[in-house]
Amino acid sequence: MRKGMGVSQGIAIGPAMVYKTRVIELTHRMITVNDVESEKKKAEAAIAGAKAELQNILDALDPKKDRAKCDLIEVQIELAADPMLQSKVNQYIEVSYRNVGDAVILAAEDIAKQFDGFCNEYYRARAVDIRDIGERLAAQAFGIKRASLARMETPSIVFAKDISPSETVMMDKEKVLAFVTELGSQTSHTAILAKMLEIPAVVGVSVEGVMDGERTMVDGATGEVLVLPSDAELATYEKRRKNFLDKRASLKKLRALSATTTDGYTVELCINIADPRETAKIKEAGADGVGLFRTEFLYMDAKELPGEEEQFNAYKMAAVSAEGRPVVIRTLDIGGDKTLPYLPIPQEANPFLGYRAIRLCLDRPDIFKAQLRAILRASAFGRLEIMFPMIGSMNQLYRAKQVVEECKKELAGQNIPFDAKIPVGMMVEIPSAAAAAQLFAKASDFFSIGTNDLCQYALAVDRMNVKISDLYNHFNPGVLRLIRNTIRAANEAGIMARMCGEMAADAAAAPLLLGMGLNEFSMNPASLPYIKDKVRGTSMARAKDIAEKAMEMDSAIDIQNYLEDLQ
Amino acid sequence: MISKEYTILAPEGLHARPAKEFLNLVRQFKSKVVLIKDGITADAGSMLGILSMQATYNSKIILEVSGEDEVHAAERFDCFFDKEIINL
Repeated sequence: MRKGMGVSQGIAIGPAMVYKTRVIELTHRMITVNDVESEKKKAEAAIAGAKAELQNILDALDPKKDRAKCDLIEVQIELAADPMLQSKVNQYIEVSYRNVGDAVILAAEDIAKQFDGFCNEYYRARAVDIRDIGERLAAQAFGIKRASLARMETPSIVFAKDISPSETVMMDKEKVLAFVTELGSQTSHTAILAKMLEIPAVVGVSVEGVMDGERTMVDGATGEVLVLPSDAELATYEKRRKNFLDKRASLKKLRALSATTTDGYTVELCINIADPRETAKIKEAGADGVGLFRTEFLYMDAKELPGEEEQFNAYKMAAVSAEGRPVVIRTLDIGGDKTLPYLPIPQEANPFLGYRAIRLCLDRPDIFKAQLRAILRASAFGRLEIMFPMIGSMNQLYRAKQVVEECKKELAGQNIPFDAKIPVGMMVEIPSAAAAAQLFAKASDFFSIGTNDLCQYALAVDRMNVKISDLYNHFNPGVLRLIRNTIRAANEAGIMARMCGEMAADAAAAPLLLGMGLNEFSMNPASLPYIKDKVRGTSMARAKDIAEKAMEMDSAIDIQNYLEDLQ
Repeated sequence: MISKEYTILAPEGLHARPAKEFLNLVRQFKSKVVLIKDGITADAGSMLGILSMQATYNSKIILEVSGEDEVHAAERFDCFFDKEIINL
């Protein structure tokens, strides 16, 4: 079995079609000084030919429907006739006595290599376009027809080193079952296209030795690729494929529906994300927004503290692509267990009880302010909300809000736009805060219950410790009382009661939380349809009964069994 | 010669449609237009030159316009980079 990176979910079974992009190779045939002028003329003809070819593709597209594709082809046309490329081609002909075909390949490769070294992912990926144009020109010059995905005969799984953007545009989409490529990433053309077509794709896997027509199987979730599978393997994959399609179909049905109970009470279902690009999953999951945007990735992947500008770009991307839906951004939650190389924190005996999250941020206004300013600036582009992690005292909440006000004042002074009414709320994950939720509700625009930490702190259980992990249960009556108190305080104060921990993704807990009065559940996108299904299948009246009954029980196991047995 | 600094306001950066529209504008004038970013210079009359600037959102580029119609050209580029580019 070959294994790569799955970049588009789904399972496909079918014959392989090996697409060879590199059919055009250097001939190494040299020309003489007498041929220079005629080769340069041929170069001009090749450019004209390539432009005509691309123009044909462009003419077949609908500029309204395929706007992005049209842009792509128009850029390709520009590249074909680019003066920089042309002068390099002429140089290869005049100085190195290369024939026109070799000259365009070499010239394009020189420029593509320069793009390969770019640090911005998008601009780096343009190297593919440049090599593609080099080959298109060479094919013109040599008079060769390039292999094309436009002329596929039977539905097949496409195996290729890489697939150029112009090729994907011309491709016969009905006939492609899946993509398997050696090159590519989550954001490559192939991955984006595959997701759009809802077909599986795996990148970063060798396609060496795969022959045309061989039976192959691709799992776009696990990244598994099988060539010539056994009957047993085939049966397993057939079953997996059916399950996947069933799940996708039922998921789709729910996507457009709201999380409304049978008696007309609606709650919000949101997703947790860790990267602004994941906002795309709001629509996929049928969610109402982002209930938790973990910002740590910005810090974890960096070599130094990320600046305001870099953070602004990330938050703005999230704000814009959420298309008017709320995005709750949690400020930096880092500490003893998750340290940063550029922010040394001395080893602590109890990192979970140590210098972390809001405690660290209030101590380091430079870090905190850069993040808050970035969020505020991005708030001019969508519906952002600010959420502080690990709030344990009113004093911390006031101080954190004070810093937000300072940042607002600075921005206003600089005439930089921001949402002056941006909601500012807190995570409820420290048991003392849950117990005193009535006090915090006066100063917070919303609560979001972080059940993972709340549970661990309230039960004094380290859930990573396998010897005691059975003691960790969010249905513990004490934990439930903290949760109920938090929700009640929010309801009474008229602020949103949210939850963003694992418990929000537990379908068994959904009626209980609903009955307690929770307004918003935020979870991983994959769990969302299940929670939606559960909410839509119950009534608020029944949920209240369930909550009441569960709260009368005295053990976590009894409550869990009771909830799991409910139908 | 007229030299001016602009901040790229296109959310996706100066590529695809914004790059193409910019290139079309450059061609409307006789003046030579040069792009400078982080000390690197490129010909604004070339798509490869424009793309090689890696002008992402919020990055700053300098435009140098020189030629007989440089005043008109510079005014037109002001409008492009300050307003039009946002809605492309």
